Amino acid sequence: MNITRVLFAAAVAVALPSSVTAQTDNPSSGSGSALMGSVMTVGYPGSGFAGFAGLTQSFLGATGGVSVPDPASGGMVTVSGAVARAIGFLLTGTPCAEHCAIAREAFGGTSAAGLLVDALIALGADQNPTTVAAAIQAYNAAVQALSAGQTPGPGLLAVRSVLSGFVQ
Amino acid sequence: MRLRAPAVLALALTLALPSAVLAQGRDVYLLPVPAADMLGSMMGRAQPGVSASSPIGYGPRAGDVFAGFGYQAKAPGTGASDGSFSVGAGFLNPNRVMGLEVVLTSLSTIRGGFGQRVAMAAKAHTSFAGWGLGVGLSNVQLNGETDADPSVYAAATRAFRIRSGPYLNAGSINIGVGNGVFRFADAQLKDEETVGVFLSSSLRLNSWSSAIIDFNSGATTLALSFAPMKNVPLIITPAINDLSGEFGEKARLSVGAGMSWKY
Repeated sequence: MNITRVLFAAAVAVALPSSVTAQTDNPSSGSGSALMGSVMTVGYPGSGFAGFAGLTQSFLGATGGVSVPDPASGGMVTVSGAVARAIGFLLTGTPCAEHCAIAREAFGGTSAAGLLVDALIALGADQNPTTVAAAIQAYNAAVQALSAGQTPGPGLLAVRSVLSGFVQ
Repeated sequence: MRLRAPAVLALALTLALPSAVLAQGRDVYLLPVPAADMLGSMMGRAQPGVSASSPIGYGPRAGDVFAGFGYQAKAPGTGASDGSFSVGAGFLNPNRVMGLEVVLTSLSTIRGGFGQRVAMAAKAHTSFAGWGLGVGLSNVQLNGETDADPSVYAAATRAFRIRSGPYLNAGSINIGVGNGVFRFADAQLKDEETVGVFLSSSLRLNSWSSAIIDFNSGATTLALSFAPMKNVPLIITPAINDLSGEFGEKARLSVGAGMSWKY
């Protein structure tokens, strides 16, 4: 088994203690049990994995619009349910079908937008340093490929909200 | 017609300005691309803990495996030191439908020996609307005696960003309910068939440490959690358990450590 260093240790470590500590931190009633307190603790789900997982799930389950932050205004913008679901499919590594066309259009319709679609599918299939960096680069390229006067739409901002979890 | 130099300059500036402004305006949307080694260390380094004794709603997915041990200087009931050893793995994908966590624990390993008392725990979990939601079963006896009867619990966990910057930038809240070992101390000691509530919260101090308060079984635990090594997914969590002495001796010191891998 080719075990690699943990990726998104948050999720794993988060899970790690939950059952374990439940077993070990509580003395039995009367058995004089020997077990002890906090075993390993829980990884922090504040960034990276948790943000990725949570947003992916939110996008996939979107029935209406989903609010995502707009760094330019400091406020929020709304991405439509259809675009959110399309992005959700990308982030679960779902091979291209209709959702890719929807996403590409939402990302600006450029060739860079198409590359971003591919990068997000790769990221969804396997989150590792290479796919994360590639997705961020593809996102930046898609933003820069927008025509003059055009600013990123809600679709790109939705992607930004996901990727920003990896950049702290 | 001859154009004066200032006019040419003004014209050039007029033409260049919008693109310059636009480029500057777009910068706010761009994300820094972390260096590969930085990403590697971010991902290789485990994240500091969010809970010290309560189960939480998040869990591992297929390909995740983990192992760890816990040590307590004065175990409740005996006053003697003891420890446990655990291994576990994740299955399925919580981002699609649900994930499954399975953990095997060698209880009382220091006093009783490795594998003399083994218990299993399992948890189904998923992510929904930013929350990690889990339903689990713990203390399923496989070998020897366990500390308590099997216990069922449900937990919901959410992490939130507090501010930008490297310090004090995130926190978490975890809430749940369960029977068995999750009952309050009185109910456990009297063996009353009730359920107990557990709560925990944490504050991420920086990228490699956090502070935790945890209320479980009626006992309050304070802990610090560290992910000390840049390239090793190790978490170490010293804690002071049961501040009020619900299970006997107050403020029992413990330490837990665990590592996890992806294959």
